[in-house]
Amino acid sequence: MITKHLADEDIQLYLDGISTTRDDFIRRHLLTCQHCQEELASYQQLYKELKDDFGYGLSAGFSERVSSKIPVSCRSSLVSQYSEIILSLFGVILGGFLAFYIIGAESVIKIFSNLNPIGFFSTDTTLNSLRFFSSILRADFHLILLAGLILIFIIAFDKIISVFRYN
Amino acid sequence: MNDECRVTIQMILAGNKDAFKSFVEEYQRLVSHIVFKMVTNRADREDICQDVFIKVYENLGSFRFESKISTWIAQIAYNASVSYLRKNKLTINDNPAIEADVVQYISDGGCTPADYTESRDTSLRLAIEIDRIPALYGTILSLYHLEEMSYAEIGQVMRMPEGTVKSYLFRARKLLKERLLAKYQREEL
Repeated sequence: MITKHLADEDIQLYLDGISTTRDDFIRRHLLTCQHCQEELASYQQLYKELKDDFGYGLSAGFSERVSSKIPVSCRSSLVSQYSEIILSLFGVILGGFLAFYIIGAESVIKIFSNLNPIGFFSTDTTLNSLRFFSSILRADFHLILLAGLILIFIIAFDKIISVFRYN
Repeated sequence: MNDECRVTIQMILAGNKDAFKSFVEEYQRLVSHIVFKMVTNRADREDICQDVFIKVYENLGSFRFESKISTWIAQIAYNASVSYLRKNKLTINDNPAIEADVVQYISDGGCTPADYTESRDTSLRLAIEIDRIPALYGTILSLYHLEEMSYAEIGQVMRMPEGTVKSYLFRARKLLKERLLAKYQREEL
């Protein structure tokens, strides 16, 4: 006589088709235990009923009503799609103008003339990398600082926009 | 993610209203399953569903195709329902018996509650019992059995670990089975 029956969890896992180490035991037990067979039948019936969609339906014409509200949000959707790009570009242009205004055109030209990015990508990478970084260090420190600040500003601004968009 | 879905999304983003209408028709069942289970106030449910689709529309451009679109929509519907409950100072488990919904359903379907009590319609019996269990259980049951979502997908929607989803699902089914057996004979189920 079988004294220990299957747990509800075992029967549900069996019906869900989820494989466990107890699969063989569950199958064998179900062949011989009438109590568990009845439990299985109850669950099978429940699963069948749960598949039937009782569905508290939305009222007729719901999709039409939602669609009719779209034109208002359509524009905001397009704006939101490109807002990050527009604002990032704005940040870059603003940063450039600020650099020219604060440091002066002469210093900006000087930094670009000191930089040698082509050499950075040549075959002798280690030596050229060192040359490239030393050329940066020779450049106007304030300009690098300002560029860093602008970068932080853009990242922060982008983050704020993301927070608003995803919330 | 199938190509058809990508094309539909692109059409919606291009401003095609008909594509959006079809999209709503395709996913309104999913949204209503979540919102109607979570929110008991009949007057607000449809408005919430409407808000969900407007939110979906507004954020469709930022959908990254990293998950199924249905999971993403379900997540928005769940978040909207939770926000509503929070705004109205309700908790997810504040789910009073809403048999009125079932009664309404019977009336909509053309039969009276009196007819129902005489009938042996197991679907309606089950629907009444589902409405009596905590909303969280009801939502998980709908997502698993009706929307055929996996434990992982439900976990993603409801922001809970897979193990918790599994445990809630098992408890919900056990609860339903016991309640139905307590009221009706095994043969009647």
